[in-house]
Amino acid sequence: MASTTRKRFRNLVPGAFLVVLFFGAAIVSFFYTPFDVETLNIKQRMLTPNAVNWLGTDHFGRDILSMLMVGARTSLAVAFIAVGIGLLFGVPLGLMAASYRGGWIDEFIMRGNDLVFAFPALVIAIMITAVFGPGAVNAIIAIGIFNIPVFARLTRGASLSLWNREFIMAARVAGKNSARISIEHILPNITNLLIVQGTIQFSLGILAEAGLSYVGLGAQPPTPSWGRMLADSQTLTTIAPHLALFPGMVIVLTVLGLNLLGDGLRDWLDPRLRRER
Amino acid sequence: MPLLTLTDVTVSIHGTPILKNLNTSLEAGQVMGVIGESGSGKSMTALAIMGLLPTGSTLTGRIQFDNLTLNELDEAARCTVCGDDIGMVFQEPMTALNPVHTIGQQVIECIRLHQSVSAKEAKAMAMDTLTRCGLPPDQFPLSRYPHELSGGQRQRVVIAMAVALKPKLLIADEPTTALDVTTQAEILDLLRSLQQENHMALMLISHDLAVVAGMADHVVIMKDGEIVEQGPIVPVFKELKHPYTQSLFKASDHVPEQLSVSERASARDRSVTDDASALLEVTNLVCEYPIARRGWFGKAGKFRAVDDVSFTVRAGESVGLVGESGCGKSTLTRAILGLMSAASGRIEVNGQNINEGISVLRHVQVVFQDPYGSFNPRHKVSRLVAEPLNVLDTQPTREQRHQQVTQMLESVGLHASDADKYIHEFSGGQRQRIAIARALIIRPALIVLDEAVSALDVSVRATVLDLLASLAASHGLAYLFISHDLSVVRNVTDRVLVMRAGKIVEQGNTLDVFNNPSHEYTQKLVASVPRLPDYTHASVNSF
Repeated sequence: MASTTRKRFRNLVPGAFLVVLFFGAAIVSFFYTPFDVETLNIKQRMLTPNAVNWLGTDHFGRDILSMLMVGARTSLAVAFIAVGIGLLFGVPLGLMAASYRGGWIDEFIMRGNDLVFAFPALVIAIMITAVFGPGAVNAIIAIGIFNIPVFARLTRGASLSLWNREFIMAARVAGKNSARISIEHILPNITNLLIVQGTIQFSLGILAEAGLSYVGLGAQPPTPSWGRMLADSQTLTTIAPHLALFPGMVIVLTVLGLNLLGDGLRDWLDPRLRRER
Repeated sequence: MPLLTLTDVTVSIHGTPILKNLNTSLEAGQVMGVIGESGSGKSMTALAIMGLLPTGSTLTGRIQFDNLTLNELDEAARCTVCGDDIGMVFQEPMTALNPVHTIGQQVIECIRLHQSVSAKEAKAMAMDTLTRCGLPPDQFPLSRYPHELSGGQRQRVVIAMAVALKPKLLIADEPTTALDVTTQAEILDLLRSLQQENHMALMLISHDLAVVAGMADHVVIMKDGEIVEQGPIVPVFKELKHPYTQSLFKASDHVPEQLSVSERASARDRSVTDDASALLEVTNLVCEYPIARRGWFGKAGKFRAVDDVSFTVRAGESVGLVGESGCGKSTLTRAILGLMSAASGRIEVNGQNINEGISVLRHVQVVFQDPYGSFNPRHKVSRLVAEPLNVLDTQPTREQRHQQVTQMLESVGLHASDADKYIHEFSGGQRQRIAIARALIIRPALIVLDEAVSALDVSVRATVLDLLASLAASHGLAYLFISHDLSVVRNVTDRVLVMRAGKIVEQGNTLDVFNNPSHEYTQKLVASVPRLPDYTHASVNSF
């Protein structure tokens, strides 16, 4: 079965490699970066990639590689926690709505969802920023809140079709209550969807953080983040295109890696696709 | 020269052989029945003729139709033959029609694809064809959408599309499998009359021997991609030369040994007397579904799926419940299992109301129809089988659980080591055994079998019925056997209830009901069941 094994890891391995690479860079940045990211060195500004500054320097003379490493912390943490918030609140809400399908609890949860959906993440972020001030934590909350209805909807939709399946009826005949069936039977059967949606939301989270930083509502200077780096490079793209190129590339590669990892995990966790023993 | 000749046709998909060296032929105006169980390659043969094989398949050999070699034609040339000279009818009328086009558009499209006729002429032809197929335009205008028709009517539209151009060959792949028995009889009549009217050759693919026996001149029996036996129907069915043909015949009208009718009658006299306690007692049960409100302030209507139903099942008894789709069987099953609440009436199991909590479920368990959908694909068999233990007051320890699972698996003819496998590793018949093990583990007094053998091949069905019979004897089980398949119900039950439009129209001793049906609906049902003629006395030379 060598060929099928290779096929099965076709997504997982490169995905995991990219994700580990970027998470690894974020972790390493706590102990070591090639240069200090908060020291400005105007003489060395806007250098193209060279032997000392591998990816060049920005308009303040900061090393781009070091900034990307430190920036990974903010970007990944924001996206990771925001997806966590979405899963933590959205999935139980969706499961609950599905198990009371048609009842007022279902209606209440879903209309609440619609309400949150009606506000784009950016509007929520501006609202939160207006109240609590700008910063990475508030960006996390804003993106996280936006994730809740996404997961609630997905969970409810996928669960509804499962509730009519015969194995759920068999569980009910075994005397199990809705909450228990939701956890034992429904949840394991929708994890594949949640993983895929989770990786999509993760990548959207990175992009949202970039967007929020871009308009100045995300991480505040001097803390670097990928989105801020893109924003700062905007006016200089004609003089120093590498300032935009590298942060843009890491965002794209992270998103790609996460999507591949999500697909790979989905296949790997499914016992139907697992190799027969 | 035969109309259709298959010479050494071999098909493999990604290197896996699917069809092996098929050699057969069909004369113009003849009916060929193709019989086989699932996976025998009978549908694949039809797809090979139509050139609809899935991607990645390779075909060798020759498929000769008229004077064309079909498998050597290019796509365009083939398209002019298929649909024009060869029509095809699929199994599932629900999915064979495009839901967003009217039936008229779909028939007209078929005609205009192959004949350059004006829209007006095509419309006239479509009307004519639909009329011939039993859908006269005054009752079924061309502007109807598929969802406005019943399953049988949709199948008529599909047939109309296939025969609109008066093909020389019609391939019907399980055309009646998804239909009720009375509808099946009507569709088979239609196919037969169309075939005779147009002197059309018909290739009828079915798993049902009786359906083929009633229609075909010539039979082909397939197993694992090979033709095991073929020839004119009477000698093949009379002589039963091949052991596989014999086993198919035996299995298709299988009476479980422990449950042969006379034995059951005497066993019942010994064990179940009329005053034996009622195990399941359903009294004046009414179940309703809400119908969607019209507008925000409209009144919500109600659909009465089960209408004033009363019956009892006594301990150790096997009761059949027959009826066609939509008659309320499934709703009744759900109500008995406590999965939906009744609008009025009572359901008592051992004198305890079904809605009084989970303890009542210790006495009733269920086996569902779909061997693929009734298990959580992410759990191992041990966990699946042990699930009903949840209703016990004291949960068994790990070892007890393991021991019981092992015991149950062995009692249904599986192996103790199967407990560690996932459900997808089992065949349909094995899965149904696991479902029975799951139902048995808390030693209930009654098992509801909701179409439990309907999805199984005849030979597998026979072994599952045997298993059920022996378990009934060893565990003193009562069965409520819900099915649309009258021949199975006839062979395994003591009493039978006939349900129609939410009401029980007739009930009584199984043999009495089947031999002397008193209600007109029961008479129609019994008459519609295709029967295998008795070939033992038929003359081989009659054809």
